[in-house]
Amino acid sequence: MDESPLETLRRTAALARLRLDDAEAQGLSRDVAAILAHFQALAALDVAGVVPTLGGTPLEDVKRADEPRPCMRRDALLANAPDPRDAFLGVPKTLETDA
Amino acid sequence: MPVALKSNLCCAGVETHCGSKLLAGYRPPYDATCVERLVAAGAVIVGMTHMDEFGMGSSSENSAYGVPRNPWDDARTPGGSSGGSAVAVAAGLVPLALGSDTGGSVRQPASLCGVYGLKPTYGRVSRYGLVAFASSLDVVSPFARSARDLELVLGVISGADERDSTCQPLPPIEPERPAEPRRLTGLRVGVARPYVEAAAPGVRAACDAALARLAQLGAELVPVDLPHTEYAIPTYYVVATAEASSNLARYDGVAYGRRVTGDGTLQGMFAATRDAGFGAEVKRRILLGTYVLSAGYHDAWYGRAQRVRTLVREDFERAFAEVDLVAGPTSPTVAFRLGERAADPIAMYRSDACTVPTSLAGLPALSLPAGFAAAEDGRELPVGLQLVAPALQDARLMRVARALEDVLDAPARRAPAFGGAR
Repeated sequence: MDESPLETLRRTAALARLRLDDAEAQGLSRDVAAILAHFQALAALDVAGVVPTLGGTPLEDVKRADEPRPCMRRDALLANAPDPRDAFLGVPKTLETDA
Repeated sequence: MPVALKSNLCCAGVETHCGSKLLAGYRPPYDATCVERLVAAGAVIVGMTHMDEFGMGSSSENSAYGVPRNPWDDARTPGGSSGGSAVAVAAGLVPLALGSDTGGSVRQPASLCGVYGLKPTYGRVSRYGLVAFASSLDVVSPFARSARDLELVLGVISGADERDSTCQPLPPIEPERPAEPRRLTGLRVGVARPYVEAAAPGVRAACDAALARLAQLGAELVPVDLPHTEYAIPTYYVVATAEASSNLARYDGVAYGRRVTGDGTLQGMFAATRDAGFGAEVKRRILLGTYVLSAGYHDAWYGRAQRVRTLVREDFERAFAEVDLVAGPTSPTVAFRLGERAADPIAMYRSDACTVPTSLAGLPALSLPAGFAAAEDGRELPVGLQLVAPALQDARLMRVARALEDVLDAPARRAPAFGGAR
């Protein structure tokens, strides 16, 4: 069964963890459909046998020595956290328990 | 030397919000490599500049923090996404500013504001501390008021950095010091036919005049075709949005940035945070990118775009077998009016027609103030000429720009809104 553009957008939004209200979803659905229609030009090109370009440089990734070194201070890293709890990041409970 | 930074370059302890509500109040605990090197060389960071949210835009209007104006005409955009840095240099507030160029986000505002902007070869400047938009395209890039200043700043910020695995293990970029700096004899310049054809008549005329000066300095001009240019915009927007949808997955309200509790569940917190934190264009691009990567659509969109990216890159390889540089307009038009393209994403994306091909190919490209063209209301506005070099030939761009700036009058003119003579 084919999805409507709005259903496709809703499903994609769920994958992207975006919660959209109805008006926003309808507007974005129209935008995305128009943009993809415009980009259909790509489908006309013959790309059989063309090697994909996977990154920004054809050179190999640079590796650094695998050795211990100081890392950033925990308190500095936690200073931007919305809900720091001692050495941890607090989030809503994910498991239901009776306890 | 005072330097301004685009608000996506981490500066320890200084709010770095990327134009997004999601990062309001975010103070990075570390400096980006480029910032660390500038400060070590004696620069003083004087402020963070306005940008399109996470670099997503061509007019700097997609921001949670207002809209910057072009100092040549304050009803018009300075371009984007690094619009604030371009304005800061054009207005004489700072001699140097850093931005980031993913699909033209430094070259296009440099063109629209009448200053110099250089996107170095991908991998020549560390991305450590640059907040990621599209990692295979993002390049930290400077704005300046002269080619000499570009050479100075590139010599400081470029070079190996083990904290970025795509930063090439090479020394900093050294300027070329030719025996006859004002002669370009022997230089073959390919004039990019599709960029010229995309440009408005006045932009084309200003670029033609600058190219004629190149020829007077001894360069030989030949046309080059770059036949896959028309596919560069869709290719870019598929690749860049795919990478963005992945990179922006980190903004979930857990470790930093804004958090909105939502319905009290973890998933509800993610969605409510992202809904409240991201603006419309960022959502549009995250949705596009998620779609082109999703099961059933990946091969038709993302896989195909990666292959077309190769074809765009090979266009340049063929051109550089014949010429030393490719040249053409940086932007198809002069600065457009604020709001003019805001409701039409495709029209906005077309603003990047002449800059995204070089981004896809990872090549160094420079925009220099070439002259002026009349807007539809008759007002004279800056036009940028773009020069593109083979990978790692960044210094060649600056040498040619230095030779040209001595014979063009555009570089000396200052924006009228800030007291410059017209």
